[in-house]
Amino acid sequence: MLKWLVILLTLCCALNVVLAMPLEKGMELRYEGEIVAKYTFSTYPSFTSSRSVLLLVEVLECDRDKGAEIAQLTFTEVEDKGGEKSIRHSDVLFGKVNPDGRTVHLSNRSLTFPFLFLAPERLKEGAVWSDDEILLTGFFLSPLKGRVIYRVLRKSEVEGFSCWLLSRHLAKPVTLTEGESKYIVPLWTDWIWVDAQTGLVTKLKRRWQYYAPHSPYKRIQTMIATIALKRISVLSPEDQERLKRELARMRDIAEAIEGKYESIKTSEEQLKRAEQMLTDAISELRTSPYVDFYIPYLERELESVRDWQKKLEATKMVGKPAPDFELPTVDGTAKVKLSDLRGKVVLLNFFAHW
Amino acid sequence: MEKEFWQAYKDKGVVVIGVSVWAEGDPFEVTKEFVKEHGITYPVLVDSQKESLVADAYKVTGVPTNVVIDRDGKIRYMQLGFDPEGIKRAIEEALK
Repeated sequence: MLKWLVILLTLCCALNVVLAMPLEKGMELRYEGEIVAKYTFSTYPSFTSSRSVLLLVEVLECDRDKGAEIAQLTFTEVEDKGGEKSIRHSDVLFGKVNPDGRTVHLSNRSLTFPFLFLAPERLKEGAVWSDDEILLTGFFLSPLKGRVIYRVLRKSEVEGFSCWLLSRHLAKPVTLTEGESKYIVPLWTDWIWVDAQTGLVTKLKRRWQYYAPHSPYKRIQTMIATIALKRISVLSPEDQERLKRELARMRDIAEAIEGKYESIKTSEEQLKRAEQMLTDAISELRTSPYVDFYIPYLERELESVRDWQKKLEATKMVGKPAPDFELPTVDGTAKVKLSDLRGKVVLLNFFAHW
Repeated sequence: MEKEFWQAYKDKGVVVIGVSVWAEGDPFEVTKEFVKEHGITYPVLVDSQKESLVADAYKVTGVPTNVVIDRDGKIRYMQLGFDPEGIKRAIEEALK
């Protein structure tokens, strides 16, 4: 089971997606919703995974020029356990326009979420086109390529927003020469709803299967995934300002502390700074409607910083007078005062028993 | 603790003191059980106040933490985790 979980988690898609022209520079959008995926294995029990998603799209540039950066996406998966939210995964992604000037390359996203942006000129009833796409890749997989056909079916409404409904499927089962990859995707069908205004995928239903012809299990997995994102709003100018500020704050903090403990753990000053920054950020973000879910993560970080501070202080205590104390003995009949033991060598053993 | 340090050093001017911290439930009951279970004869104290104030004063971040204090009341050794060789060395040094 673990092995397949590892495979699932490492199956990532380097996607070539179609450029979103309706996005305008400076536009910011907020989506939230859920990803539900049901996995069925040939030899293992099925399971369903479900997680909340928060997607903030910030359009930095909207340029048809080759290599231009079109969008910065802050993609966050939020786990909601009985009202207590915590971050499962958070990413800032950049889309680059491919040399064909028509598609956008976004790398390293989970298969369950192809970040699809579609150009408006393509969104016409009955439109059909096809693209060569990389379907599977991972650190121990060779990339698996296939020809994918897109078909625009009709206009449809999702959560009150006008969308285009598209189908997306493989032109033919992927065939491979030996040694190319261990996996074959024989069936792949997506139903995709694209926000007509922004070109972003807001709903996706996916059904796919893949085989490992050389493994004893052969048919490995069937997955049915549903993604439903609700466009909350195109934010008001004030909200955009606020969101921008809070996101920048979040990024600053992440940059300042992530993986830094090894280097700052011996510096009292730097730990103090980290503590101050985290304390300020927590009280600041507590009132935020956008990034409040980030707080539990910051609190954990703060706890680590305080732990390092304590450890650092502890190393400085050797050679100094031992703090005096008076505590009751376990049977409650007497009290022991450390300073009364002057003249003796004392071995203090702090222990805990649960 | 009991054999290696208390029994071995109690006649040489060394006092071993156990300090029970961060107990859940009734800290005295929980500690009593532990003392009985392990046949401990050296004095065991209970740092029962919320947040274990003595542990806090000694900047204890985890258990076990062992501290060796010399005859003048100065800390000679302090270490998270159990390192019998280090403790022994510190005690011998302090006894010189």
